[in-house]
Amino acid sequence: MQNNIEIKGKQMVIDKKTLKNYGGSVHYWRSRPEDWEKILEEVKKLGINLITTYIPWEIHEVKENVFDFGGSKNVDAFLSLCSKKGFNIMVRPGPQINSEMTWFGFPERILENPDLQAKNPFGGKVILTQVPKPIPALSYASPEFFKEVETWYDAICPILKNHLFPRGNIIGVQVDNELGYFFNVNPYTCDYSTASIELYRRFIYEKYGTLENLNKIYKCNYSNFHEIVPPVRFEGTSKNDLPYYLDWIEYREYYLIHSLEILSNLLKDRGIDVPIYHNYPHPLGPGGATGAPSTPFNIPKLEEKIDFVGFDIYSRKELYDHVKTISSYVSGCSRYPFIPEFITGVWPWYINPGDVEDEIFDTKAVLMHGIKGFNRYMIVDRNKWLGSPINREGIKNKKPYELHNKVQDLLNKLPIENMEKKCDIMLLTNRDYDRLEAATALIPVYGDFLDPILGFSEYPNTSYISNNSFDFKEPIQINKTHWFEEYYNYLSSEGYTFEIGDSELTVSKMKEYKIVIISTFEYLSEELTRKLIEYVKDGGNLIIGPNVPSFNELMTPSNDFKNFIESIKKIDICSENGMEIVGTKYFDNRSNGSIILVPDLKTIQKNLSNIFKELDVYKINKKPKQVDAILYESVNGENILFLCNPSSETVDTEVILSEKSISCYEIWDNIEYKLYKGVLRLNLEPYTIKIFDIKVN
Amino acid sequence: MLSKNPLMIDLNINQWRNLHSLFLEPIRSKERITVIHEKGKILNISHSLGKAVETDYLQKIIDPEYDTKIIYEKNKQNTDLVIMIDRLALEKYYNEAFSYWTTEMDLDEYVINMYKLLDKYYPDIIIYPGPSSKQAGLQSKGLHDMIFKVVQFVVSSGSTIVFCIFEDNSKIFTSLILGIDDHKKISLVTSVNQEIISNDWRKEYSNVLSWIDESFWECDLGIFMNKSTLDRIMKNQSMEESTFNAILNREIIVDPFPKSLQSIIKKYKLHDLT
Repeated sequence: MQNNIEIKGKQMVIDKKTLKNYGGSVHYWRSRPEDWEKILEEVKKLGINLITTYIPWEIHEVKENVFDFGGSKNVDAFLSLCSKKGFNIMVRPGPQINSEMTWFGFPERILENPDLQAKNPFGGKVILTQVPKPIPALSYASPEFFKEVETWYDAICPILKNHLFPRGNIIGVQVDNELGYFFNVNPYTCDYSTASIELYRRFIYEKYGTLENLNKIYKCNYSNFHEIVPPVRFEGTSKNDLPYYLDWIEYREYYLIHSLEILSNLLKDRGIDVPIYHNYPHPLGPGGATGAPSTPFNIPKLEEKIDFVGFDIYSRKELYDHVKTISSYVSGCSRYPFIPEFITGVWPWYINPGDVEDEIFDTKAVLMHGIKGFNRYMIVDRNKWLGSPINREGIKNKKPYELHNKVQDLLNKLPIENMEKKCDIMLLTNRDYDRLEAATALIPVYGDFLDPILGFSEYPNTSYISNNSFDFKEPIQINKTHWFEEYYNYLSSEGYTFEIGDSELTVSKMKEYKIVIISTFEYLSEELTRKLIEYVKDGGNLIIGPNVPSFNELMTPSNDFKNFIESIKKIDICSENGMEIVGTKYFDNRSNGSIILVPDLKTIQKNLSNIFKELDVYKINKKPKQVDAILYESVNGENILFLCNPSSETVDTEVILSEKSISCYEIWDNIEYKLYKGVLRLNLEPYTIKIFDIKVN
Repeated sequence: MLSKNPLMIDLNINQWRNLHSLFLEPIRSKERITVIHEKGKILNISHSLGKAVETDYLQKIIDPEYDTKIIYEKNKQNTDLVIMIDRLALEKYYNEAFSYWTTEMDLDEYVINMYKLLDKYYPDIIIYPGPSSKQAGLQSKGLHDMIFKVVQFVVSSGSTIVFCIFEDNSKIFTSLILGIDDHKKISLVTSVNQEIISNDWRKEYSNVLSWIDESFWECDLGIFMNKSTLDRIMKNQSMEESTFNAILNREIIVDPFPKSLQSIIKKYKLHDLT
């Protein structure tokens, strides 16, 4: 509880009222103050009730430690005007804000200072090719850097303090922006600065405690923690080599969390007492990645330090699975599933930009998959931004404005923030193996805002990771992706609603689901093993495979999982026709929990279809397979059904609803659909999401 | 070429998208086979779309130049490019490329240097067919060179350039207005407002020029043409020759027509007589 603002149950609540946080970004310094009133009026008419703005250090610091808050830089006046107009406000004072600014929001002197720069493995700079100027990545481990940030926070926080809820309307403060090594997600790019190496050693010390422990695992003979040097490239050949590299990957998560904790504490020390949040970068950004976003980002761990964390989304409708994955992952992991930057218009160097049709499709898609709030970036055009519903002078951009107006009407009508997805399954991305995938990257790939120089994504993937098996039966770093995708595709096509989670989540979070699915190979971290066993001991149904792990993350033998399995009853799983044994179920009589071991990727369907029937797992009966469906329920008995055709072809669609369903009204197009004995039939156009209000007798 | 903080305002998103599709060529739009090796030992072979790659004959990289060509020839039906990387060379490459950066350096200068540096690393880093510098990252099909020459040698400081392509008589397919500051840097990037042209661009293009003069600053060079003309020019082997011919026969309207450009075309005509 901070002031009267609570983040709980996937909601932001003020005075027991759940907020509808569907906001939009307006950059005060990029408009004339005389236009602010008109711009905000148009934003209000659009139906938006939350304004967000960056506050750029780069603009306000006119010379070292001298700040200008006058004229178009009068953020105090802008915030007052927003409050006067009745908007809630979220502010984003950086220090890094990108914001399509020349120096990413920093004064030029900060970027120029070599002592503040991140370092590559050779000790040189790390340059991000961005527009209009390439910039060096900064080190977020440097104490000098934080001292500089303090001067900025000292200047801006007194202004913000006057506007914090309940005195003013600021209900959230975003700390920094898209922190991720300046898009150098690839592990062997940075940060090898002196400060970062010191922090790495501290991390190693915290993890191992003694040199004896460390030397045993690393097969080394260090006499001091200060002798340890981080890996600059992957050179492992056996499983015993892996902990050294895996620690570097884990450290890179720690680095981001550590620096965001310092920054958020600096804000708190200066009186910022509303929720503090962060936005991890859009994982399809320059370079692109398609899987669930894991290392170096870590929502569950970061939410131990700040109030909530989201991922930014900028996608065209053809990338539906990406939007689904990110939304579902944020919904599954965050205590408040909020998208801090959600595509509305584009920056000019976004190659082949989409349009408002993509934005409307994406809006429905994120709601469908569990997002409870977002910030449209940008709701108003300005320098280096195009295609928003309102231009920089407050004039409507006709087509985007009309469509966004319609979608805001929908959002204001739809009680989605108070509804819950009907869902029994959590599909966990296994961070142990995501870290292995990152650790085995063979080449550095640096962030690039134009197009990656050799076409690689900065997110390690099969095109440039090692395919070595490291004494295991198979290359886990490659095959873990096949398993995740197979589960994802099976559940989606069969109509089993699922949420994507992260193995870093707590057991209590896992317990919210009847079924937890996670791929397990020959090693698994001890902490995760403990959590999964606890989940089963508490009555959960755990699906694992292809192996029962027998090593821990330090690659030392660990039989905890095996011992637990052997302590409970073993039952063979037969195929649907009963002719074939396809897997094994281990049943815990005391808790009624179970473990299902799927030994082979090809037997997922055979294993799960019977098990899911037996456990009465919720599913939506729909066809064809490519149509995606999600049902939301409210405590008042309201039902909202989302139906999505993510393909480029029109499909004849059929959904069998409860026989108690008596009417079916499509909210976006305002059309009543007839039901025949609870069956809904319709043609779904390409890239369409329909939203039905289902009334039940 | 871009100023430190260019104004990029009122860009029409459709026109901007069309400009990208006409001129930009990202490496990711091409099918690529990538081979990563270390001192000849193959560590990873992949196809950008996950297609099968025929490399059974390849046990080790002995001659990167020859091996790259062979991979390309054997997989021609499934690939546009073969990228051969010695991982150590790539690590060194990035460090060297980053070392040239200064805050004063323009984006295009930095990126072009970065691409050219790849050629220096040949054959430890190969993009085939090459040269690597002409395939890497984001290529602009000559647009960057053309704008660079125009800004440096054709128009004056404190002026604007407009380039406008029409889909039919009146609909703008794409346009680009560039403002050049006193240091010959581009400080303004924007689009032509479609509302200025309603019936026939050949009769109304001067309204665009008046609008630019009023809204920004004086226009030094205006180029107007139909998309069909541009398509033909871009397909032609000699783009320069077909452009000059199109100007001479008024398929392309150039107005204002700077003297420096007029003299280039006059020289071209005389050269034609020889």
